[in-house]
Amino acid sequence: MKVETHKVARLHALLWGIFSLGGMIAAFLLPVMIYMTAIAYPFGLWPFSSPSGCLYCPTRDPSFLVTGHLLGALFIFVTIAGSLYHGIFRFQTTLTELGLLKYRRALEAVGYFIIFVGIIVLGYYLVAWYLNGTIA
Amino acid sequence: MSQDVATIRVTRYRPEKDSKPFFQEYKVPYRHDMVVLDALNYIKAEIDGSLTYRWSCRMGVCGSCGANIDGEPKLTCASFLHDFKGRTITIEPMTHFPVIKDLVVDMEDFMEKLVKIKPWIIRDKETPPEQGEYKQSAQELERYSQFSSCINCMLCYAACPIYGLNEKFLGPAATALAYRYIEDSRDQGKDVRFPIVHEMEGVWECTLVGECSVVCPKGVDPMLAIQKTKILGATNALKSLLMPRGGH
Ligand code: SF4
Ligand code: FES
Repeated sequence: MKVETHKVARLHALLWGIFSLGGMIAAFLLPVMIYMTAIAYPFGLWPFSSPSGCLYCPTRDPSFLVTGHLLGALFIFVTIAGSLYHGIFRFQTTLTELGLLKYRRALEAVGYFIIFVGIIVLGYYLVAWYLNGTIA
Repeated sequence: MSQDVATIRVTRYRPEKDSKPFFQEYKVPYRHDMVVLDALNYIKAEIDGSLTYRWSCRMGVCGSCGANIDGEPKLTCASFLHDFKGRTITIEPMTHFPVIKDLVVDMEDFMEKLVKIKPWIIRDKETPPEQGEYKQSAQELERYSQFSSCINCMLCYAACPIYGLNEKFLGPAATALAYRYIEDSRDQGKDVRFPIVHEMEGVWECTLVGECSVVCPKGVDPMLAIQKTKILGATNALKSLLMPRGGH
């Protein structure tokens, strides 16, 4: 006998999958992005300082990450969107742990709204910049 | 041989007489090899026959003697008195369960959850015994063996803050046991168990606190079982999205 998993639970399973992926992104890519964009590039540190550039990057010049290359923009989008999504999902579990089960649904809805609007706005600007040539 | 004396503070509660639980203190002489359960047995035999608690095997096998000892869920038969030397030992019923009397808690909710996940091997079609056993390799056994060590002591439920907040949560031991069968190569009951463990009040309620795995006296890691079950749930959901006719 096959009993159907409830649709809400199935959707939650998918969202949890994205949350896990977001966790990996937040753990591995977020520190790289922060280092590249907020420390290495402005202060001219490695890999920007190295004449041979970044060995693992698709181009030897790593500035594509921060100066409007499509790959750099995608990297930043995936990192920010993944981390934001991971954050909101984790926020839900904090609400549960704080015993706010009664308000969880409402607070979750507010959180999801903020995150999805944030991701859509970020995506919109990236596409717009790509179309008008700011990102090449 | 000289004997030490332990001071034991036990929760007393007789719902028909007491408006709320209270502590009663006892002095118990003990030897080095005595455990908290021995102290309770001493109190019952020598001081106060009305003290009520569960126990059976006295060797960490039956899972019936769980209690909160100094605030931590433990088996009373596996907690040595000398480990608490010099301080009063507080013994309370396991948290998150309704108390029937003194240290005895109501196990009904847990029992219902155990039955719900169908803790037995499910086959599409049973083969007659003459056809031999369902064989399994050592590697196949290894996949689930730690989860089959559960003794249903419920310490993990007493330690789980999420179960304390939402008693509908399937919880650690029931999920670990469900996962034990999901991973068993002889079992064919995934389609029956997945909808139970993957319900909203199944694994998704878990927030990865991890206390269940810390308190388990048998080395079972229910948190791992829950995480692995979540991964299966996410994979199944993705499969059924991509292949609506084929997924779970
Ligand atoms: S998983 Fe461990 S703590 Fe939980 S009921 Fe089983 S043996 Fe007890
Ligand atoms: S008496 Fe059986 S586990 Fe403690």
